[in-house]
Formats: sequence, C-alpha cells, structure tokens
Amino acid sequence: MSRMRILRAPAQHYLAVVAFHLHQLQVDGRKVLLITFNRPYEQLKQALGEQGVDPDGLFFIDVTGQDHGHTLFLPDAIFVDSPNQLELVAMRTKVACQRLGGNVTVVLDSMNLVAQYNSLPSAQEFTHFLVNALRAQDVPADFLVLDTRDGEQLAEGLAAYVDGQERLQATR
Amino acid sequence: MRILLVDDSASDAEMIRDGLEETGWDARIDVAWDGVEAMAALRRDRPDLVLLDLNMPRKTGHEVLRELRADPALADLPVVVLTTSHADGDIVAAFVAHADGYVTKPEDYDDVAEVAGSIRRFWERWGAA
Repeated sequence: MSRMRILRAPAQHYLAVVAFHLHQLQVDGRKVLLITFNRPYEQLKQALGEQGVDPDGLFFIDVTGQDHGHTLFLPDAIFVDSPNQLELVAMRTKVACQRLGGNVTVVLDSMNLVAQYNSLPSAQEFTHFLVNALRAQDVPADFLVLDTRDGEQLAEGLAAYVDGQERLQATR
Repeated sequence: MRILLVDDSASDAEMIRDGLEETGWDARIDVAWDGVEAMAALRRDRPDLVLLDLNMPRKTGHEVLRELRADPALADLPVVVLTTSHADGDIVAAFVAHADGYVTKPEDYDDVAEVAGSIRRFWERWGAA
C-alpha cells in the first residue's frame, strides 16, 4: 500500500533539509514529482540542483502563479495558474503520475501555503482528494509542513487523512 | 534547423512563421496544412521540431501525436502543441500523448513575439539536448 506522510521540516535550513530528503528518494530509485506552491520551478530546480538533487529525476507542477504566458507545459513542468485551483492541481498530479510511470513519489511543498492561499478546510479537502487519487495509483506522497507552531496545528488538522507524521532532520 | 509547422489556417501559419523569423532564428520552416499531410512530410523528411495544431481536418493533432509517438523513427521527435485551445481535456490529452510542450496560439500580432520567443526558448532548453 502506498504511504502518505506529513513531513515536518524545520524552517531553518528548510531548502537544505528538503533537498536532502529528495536526494534520499532519488538514491532509493524514486522519481520525484514536486508540487511547488513555494518557489517557481526554474528557481527551485536550480536551487535543488545546487544542493545535490539530480535535476533529471525531478518533475514539477508549478502552482506559484507565475506568469508563463502562452506556455502551459514543458517536458519537466506543468503550470497551474493559481494556488486556488486545487482541484486542477490534483487532476494534473494524477495525469503526471500516469505519464511518469512507476517509482514516482509526490512531494508537495508546502501545505502551509495551500492553507494560506485557501483555508484549512480547503487544504483538508484537497489532501483527502489527492491522497485517495494517489492511493488508487499506488503512488506515495509526502506533504511538507513547516515545523512551526502554526505548522503543528496544521499537521494536526491534516493527520486524519494520511498514514503518519515524521520530522525531517538537518542531517547534512 | 528545420521546423515543420502543422496548421490548417493559412493566416495563423503565416503569423507564426513571421514571428519565428523575427526572432532571428536561423531555421527553415515548412508548413503542412493538415494531419495527413503532416505525417507524409514527417516520414519523408524528418524535421528537428514539430509545431502542431490540434483542430484540423482529415487527421487531428491528437491523432498525429499518437501516430508519431508509435512510430520508432519519429517517437523521440520534439513536438510542441500550438493551438487556440485552453480546454483542459486538450491539455491533458496532449500531455498524456507525450507532447513535449503546449503553447497557446497568439490571438493577434501583438502576442506573436511572445509565443515565438517561447518556442525558441523551448528549443534552446530542451530540443537541442
């Protein structure tokens, strides 16, 4: 059964900690589908590459609302216009997983921003919908939550929809 | 560098060709006027990049995409869908059929430079690898 986790990442050294996690997934032979509400995919791809993540093993759904003009997708990225279009994000995620084939792990960065742009109930609905869709495809997912006081409350609010919670550690 | 532009609209094809030429791109641009003509052209003389409209008579862009991805001689050809459609069904279908990019057409000459620039950047970043 696919495993759905909330991963709490420290705000300090956040990128390095997340990069280490993605690197570990790649070492384990996983392709990573990174849904980013956080930074535009090109910036994030470069930043993660500088932290040792193999950019060739990364695929993005960019929900940062950057203006991509007439471009709707590229070989390694799909764009969703607005962080409020959660249903569209979930649908594009399902399709991207199909296209990527097996050995995919979805990583969502971050649930704090999903809740901030929408609301906690919307973030819960989205998590429920996405988790069920990914379980049907046997795709595991990691939902990143900033490990702050607000993040703790958010993680508690999402806990019912996932299989467990873990803390990412700054180990590198 | 050779581009096959597949579009049944002469005015759209002309606008896009003009836009690409104005980027200063040293590329020869051939035009096929529908999907059937496109498949014949692709098999006769493989280009470096295909710009593919979706809504065309005789054979649609979706059909062309599926057919060329199933052909070992053409399966790895970079294809950018270039269409007026923003419909989610078209976007998803193109994505599932392994289009390499999806760019919406300019509505008029004001947008041509942006679209042509997107296509050129696409090629520089992805196609030439």
